[in-house]
Amino acid sequence: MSGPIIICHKLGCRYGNKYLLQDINLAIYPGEHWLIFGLNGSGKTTLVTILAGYGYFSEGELQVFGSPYTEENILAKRQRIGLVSGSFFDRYYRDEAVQDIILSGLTGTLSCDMTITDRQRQKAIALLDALGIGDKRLMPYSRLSKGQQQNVLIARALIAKPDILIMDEPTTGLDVFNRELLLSTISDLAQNTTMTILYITHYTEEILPEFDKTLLLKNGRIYRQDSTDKLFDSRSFSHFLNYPATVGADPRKRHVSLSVPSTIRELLNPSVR
Amino acid sequence: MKEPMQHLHEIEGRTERCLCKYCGGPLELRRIFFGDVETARTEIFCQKCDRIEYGVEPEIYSISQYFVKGFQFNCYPDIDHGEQTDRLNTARVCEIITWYSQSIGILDANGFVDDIKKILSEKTSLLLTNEVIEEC
Ligand SMILES: [Zn+2]
Repeated sequence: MSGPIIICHKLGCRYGNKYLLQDINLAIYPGEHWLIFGLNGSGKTTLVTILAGYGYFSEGELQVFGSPYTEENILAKRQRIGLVSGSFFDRYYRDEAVQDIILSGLTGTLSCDMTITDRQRQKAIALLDALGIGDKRLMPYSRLSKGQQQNVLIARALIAKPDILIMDEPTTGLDVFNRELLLSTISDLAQNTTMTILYITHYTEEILPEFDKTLLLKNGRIYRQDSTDKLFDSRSFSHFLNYPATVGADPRKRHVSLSVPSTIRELLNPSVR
Repeated sequence: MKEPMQHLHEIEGRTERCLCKYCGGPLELRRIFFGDVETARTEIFCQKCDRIEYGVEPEIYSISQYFVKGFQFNCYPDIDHGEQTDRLNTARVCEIITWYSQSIGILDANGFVDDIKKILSEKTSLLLTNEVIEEC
């Protein structure tokens, strides 16, 4: 077996006195399918944007495809990584044309340049059609719905046939049809390609059986990393949440139930006014 | 794959020479990522639209703007017609002319080839400057 495709050694990201990530040690091997699971604010997006070569880290070491990111290799490496992250790209894309955004996935930059071939343009059109937004090709990104924007980022990630596919909460804003289409695409890619996949979510119902490894992130640190089966049992998962949870036995649909009582109604009681 | 320095040199040149394909505004380089790898964090932006741009040759922008206004070209029939559709249409025509010029080998990322530059500078062909367009 070849060496890891991603290695993090004591990776950390600090802004001022605040650590967004700390002490991340991780080795991901080619063809592995990882679930990165954490609640909001756990550092998931920060971690994956750093791994994909779009983010800043203040300490530790990172190697992707066998070496650190450098001036010479970063654009070439980014072309081999498909990153889908609305929370990252929405900071930069506003009125850019959908087609330009998708084609930028081929150059590792945010704008699309003149190296794009006609064949690549045709591929962008085919991807948009397959994702049901072929008619939006020439539209500004900001005029699309959240779900359509998410599909644009998915097309941007897939156009270069990446070796590593990183999806950061990719179902945000998708309707039920598009969500199932996306999950079935990921399942198909996991089963029938050698792509390394990192899937980030905070929804337990999106945990596909293909995600055999899991990284649990909590407050910017790795809480645990292990096989998904080991981490998604009731005892381990309750520990992680620090709250009693029951995880269903079916690994094809990991149903997690929590009993979280609400006291909001009591506040609405007239006698409390 | 381009050399990183070649990429930086190219986008610096475009920032100086080219215009925004939507509004014709001037371009600027911005460093947008919090990292220390220069190649990865430098992108071209339009100063007026505040958008990520790659830029279009000024001559191509001029004739595209003329084409859209002069012939009322509109490939956005579903959007209410106005300033925004004019910009979107101008950008589309810029893309078509850029694609054609590149396809026949008279344009690359560093601008028009020397022979064409010479023709443009000597104004021996019809050059649609802003003044010409305004006269129409
Ligand atoms: Zn502009």
